[in-house]
Amino acid sequence: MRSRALRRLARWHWATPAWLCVLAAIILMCLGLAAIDTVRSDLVLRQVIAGIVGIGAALAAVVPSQRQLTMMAWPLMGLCLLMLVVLLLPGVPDALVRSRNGASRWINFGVTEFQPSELAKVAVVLCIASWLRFRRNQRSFMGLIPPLALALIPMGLILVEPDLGTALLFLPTCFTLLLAAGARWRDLGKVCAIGVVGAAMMVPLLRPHQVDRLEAMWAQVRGDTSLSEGIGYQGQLAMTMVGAGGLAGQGETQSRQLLKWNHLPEDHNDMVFAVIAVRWGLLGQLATWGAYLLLVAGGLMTAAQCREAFSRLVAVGATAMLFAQMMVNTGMTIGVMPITGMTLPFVSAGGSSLVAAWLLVGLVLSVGLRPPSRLWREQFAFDDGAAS
Amino acid sequence: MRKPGYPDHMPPTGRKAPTFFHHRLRLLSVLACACVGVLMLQAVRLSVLGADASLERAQSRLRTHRWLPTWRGSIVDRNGTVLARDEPRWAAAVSWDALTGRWADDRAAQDARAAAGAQAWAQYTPDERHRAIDTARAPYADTLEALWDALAKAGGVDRGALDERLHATRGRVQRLAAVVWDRQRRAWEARVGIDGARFTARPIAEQVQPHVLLGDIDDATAIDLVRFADTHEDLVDLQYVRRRVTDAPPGTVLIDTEAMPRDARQGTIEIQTGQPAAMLVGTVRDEVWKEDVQRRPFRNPATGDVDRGGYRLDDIVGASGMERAAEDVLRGDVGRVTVRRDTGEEHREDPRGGDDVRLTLDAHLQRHVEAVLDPAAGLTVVQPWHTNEQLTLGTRLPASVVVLDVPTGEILAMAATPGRGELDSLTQSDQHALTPWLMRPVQIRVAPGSIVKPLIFAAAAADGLVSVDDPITCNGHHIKGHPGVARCWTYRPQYGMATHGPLAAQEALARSCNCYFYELGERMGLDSLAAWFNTWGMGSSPDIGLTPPEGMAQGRHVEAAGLVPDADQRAAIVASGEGLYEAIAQAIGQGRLAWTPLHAADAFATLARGGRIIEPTLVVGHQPARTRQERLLPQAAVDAALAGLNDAATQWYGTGARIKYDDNDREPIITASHVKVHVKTGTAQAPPWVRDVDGDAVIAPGERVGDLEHAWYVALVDDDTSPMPRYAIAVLVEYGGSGGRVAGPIADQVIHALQSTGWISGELP
Repeated sequence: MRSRALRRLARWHWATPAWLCVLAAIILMCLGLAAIDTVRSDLVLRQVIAGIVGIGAALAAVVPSQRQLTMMAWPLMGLCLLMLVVLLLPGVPDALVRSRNGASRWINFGVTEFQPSELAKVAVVLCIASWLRFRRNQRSFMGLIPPLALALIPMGLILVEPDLGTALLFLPTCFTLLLAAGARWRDLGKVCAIGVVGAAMMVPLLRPHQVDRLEAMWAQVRGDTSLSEGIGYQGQLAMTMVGAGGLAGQGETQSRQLLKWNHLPEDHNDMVFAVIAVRWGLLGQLATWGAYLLLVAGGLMTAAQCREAFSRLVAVGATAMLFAQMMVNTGMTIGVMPITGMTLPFVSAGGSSLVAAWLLVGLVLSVGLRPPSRLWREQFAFDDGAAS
Repeated sequence: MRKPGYPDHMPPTGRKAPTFFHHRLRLLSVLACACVGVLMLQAVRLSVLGADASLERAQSRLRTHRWLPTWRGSIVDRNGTVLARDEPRWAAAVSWDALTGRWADDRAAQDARAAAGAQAWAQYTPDERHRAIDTARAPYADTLEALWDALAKAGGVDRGALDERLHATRGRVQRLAAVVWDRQRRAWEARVGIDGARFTARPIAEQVQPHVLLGDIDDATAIDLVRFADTHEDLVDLQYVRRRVTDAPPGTVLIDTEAMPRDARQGTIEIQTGQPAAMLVGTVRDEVWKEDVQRRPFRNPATGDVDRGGYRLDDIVGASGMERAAEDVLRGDVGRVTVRRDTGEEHREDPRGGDDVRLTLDAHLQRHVEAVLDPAAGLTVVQPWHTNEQLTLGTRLPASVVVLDVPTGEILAMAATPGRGELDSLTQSDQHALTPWLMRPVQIRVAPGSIVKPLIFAAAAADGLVSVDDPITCNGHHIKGHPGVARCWTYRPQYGMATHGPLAAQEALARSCNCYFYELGERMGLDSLAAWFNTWGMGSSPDIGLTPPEGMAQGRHVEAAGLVPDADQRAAIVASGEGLYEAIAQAIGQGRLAWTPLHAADAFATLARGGRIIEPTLVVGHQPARTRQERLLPQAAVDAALAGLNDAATQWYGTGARIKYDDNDREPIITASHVKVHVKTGTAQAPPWVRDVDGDAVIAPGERVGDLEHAWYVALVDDDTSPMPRYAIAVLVEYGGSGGRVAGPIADQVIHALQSTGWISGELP
């Protein structure tokens, strides 16, 4: 039995570019620990533990085969939807779901609190990959509707929590998966057009604070500082802190003082990128983005080397989810996107976020390590004029 | 179209050619790089281009500031007599917990818990706890009672009054808190979209900060309270405050009424006067308005820079008079102690007090002039010698006086009745009729009447239209064939349709012959008249220093400009065929003309200086913004004008020389001795005076009094040895009637005041 397992391990492709993702994740996690130590040293140990748990989760994600993952995808999605619905149900005891700042995002499991929306990211990637693996109808407009629905259902529930930031990740991820799966440009264009109209129709449904954030970002773009003491305070302060870091940063001591007395909200969490910018300056920012590009490169190369449709899409989807989250987080910190409650994967303090990010990396690693099954067929090889 | 070499399925072995999927991956890679590129561009913009500004903003948060109070400059008269100044005082502020009694409850609870021990306390029932706390509360309640007693004593009020004040403060804060919490709850519900049951009301600022119960405590009283402040810092706090005070106390002025017309004689009387020049000095307000912050914000909202002279919520701001006009001078800069939070390093910038404002007024003379205008002196109420048939005897008349130093243009006194201080004592109908809120010497504009005649003569002489000795014949009326139009004041039935005959300038001025000046008006024409009136200053605002700084909305027009028709208006008058009539009317100070007493005094001072313009001013060092074209006058014309004005005061035919009573008895108007005076009277047509006598808010026919005239009396005066007049005095009594009869005695009393205060024939103050 043991020798059989070893034989199986020996057949794995150990020289896989998925390790780049692991390397990038470790670099980012170390960067995050240093940044968290700058502002909340009391959270470092908890973050280290969460990191270990996350790595464990990533290793656990490597264990099941692709087939098993495919089978797990739908029950996992069901579990996520169930938890998301529980969050929104009236009458749920505070001990289980406690509202913070008007948002119900966390389920209390006693020993720890957990955000179902984090698990939903993994579930959505697996489900869409599973749906698309043997299909060719994504080449038509109607074929795009099921995968989009798979993203929109959890997205809607997360929007109601409300957690606009996390909800917004599902669309670019789904879009990326469809693009990789061979969807036609014109169909994607139609989806985009419908999305724009839909988004415009959704504006009246936005909460006042969400509208405030959009207004604040628009004011920032216009260079209008009139909102900087009100609804644009957090965004303006974050940009100030990013700028204060300069080219090479302010060093540890000065950074601590600047961050302490400027009272940047959520500096250990959603605004951790500003901490990196203050401490290590533009170089720190570039290093962070470099690490994410390394992760993207690892993920896409893993997908490129892979032959199975499901595996390909899992690698692309996991990478896209992490990249989109990075874009939203760092974009809002430097003032090109509205402020949302969004962590920076691997860097921000927070167990759920870190474990979910490692799970996604684990999925990529699983794709990269596992050899293709003997029976496979080429997927997503359409003739579309050189794929453009 | 299928591309060669790209089959539907990849070959299973060998080096793989790029497939459709790989192309899409490449595309995704490029997209990812492009997205990161955009972020990098923004990062470069922030971290390189805007780094310095951002770092400065971030570092500014490392510094905390403590502000040191400043003080407002004083307003003093020309001799340094303080008219308004800041005075340090103390305020006793009591904590909210003391006000509500919670201070005693909390301490009693602590003591009770300590006495019982933590374990036993945990076993107590609520009733047992209450009993234990009540027992421990007594000494703390006694402390609070002692505090209230001490505060009542310090404030000079009984305990009942203090308790009412405590109750009112508690009620006010609790009502405020209820409003704030309701608003916060609604905002919270709107924001998070769930019902307000989970809303937690936190104490509002007023429930944390101490409340001032006694706001005006002197040093001696404050020392009595220091005992509490030292031993119970959490109970009472003695705060340093400043109060604006006027130093000159109400005083008494002795007036010898024997120099007045006979009906007013009552020996030497004492006139109680208030703060001298109170209306000119003005008031302050202790609330900062939006316009103040917009004009000079303490912290620039765009840059965050601090202007230490900028406005903060608890500042004192000039509200009227010189306090408002000199706001930027009087206002100081607060001091600043900057502490680096990270290093504890301190940097101190001392406060700078506001600069003093020195007025050209002589407070002593001002007080005398105000006493003269007091109705108790009898000169500003309708008197028998006024021969005012429309108003009843004793009716109060609004009046103004300006005393100007001719060589310098400095205003030595400027007073009016009624004053703003009388606002509360007047009935509503009197307020409406007497408009006590106006700064009359610079705001009341009326027709000048005959007092413009010496100015018209000097102007015509300067233009070569008349010489000193040129006679002009008075036929009683100016326009041939129209005896009822443009008549001389003597050409009326009550004067036997008398005419002056041929007159030269000096006599024409002394007799105030209208026909002489009708002729000059016709010769000059409307345009020349307007140009000269503007030279005399009639058409513009004088800018003596009472206009508030830019950005202050109130009081922008406190210094009124006179009325002189502009070019368009003159063209319209000429086009309507009234050009000649308007010109001859203006030559005797009627027509479309109006000015203030200050304009009149300034014009006569300019005449006395031979046409040399020195702008009048109320503030030492003030540079008036008004500019006028100076037109020097021929000395012969000036001498003739002054001679005519002297004759007007001294000759039997002079219009400003005597008062004629009903019994034909006559008395001189100017009774002051050892002075040389040059006067001109003016009796200007006035609109109906609306007086709601019965206060029923309905103007009955009898309450609209017509056929009234404003009384002017302008004098140039100095001691009888002086080669030229030194002081210009302008007196206006609104609706008073004859200039000589009504305003003349006031001018005479002002001359007495100039003498008694040493300005004439004495040692100058």
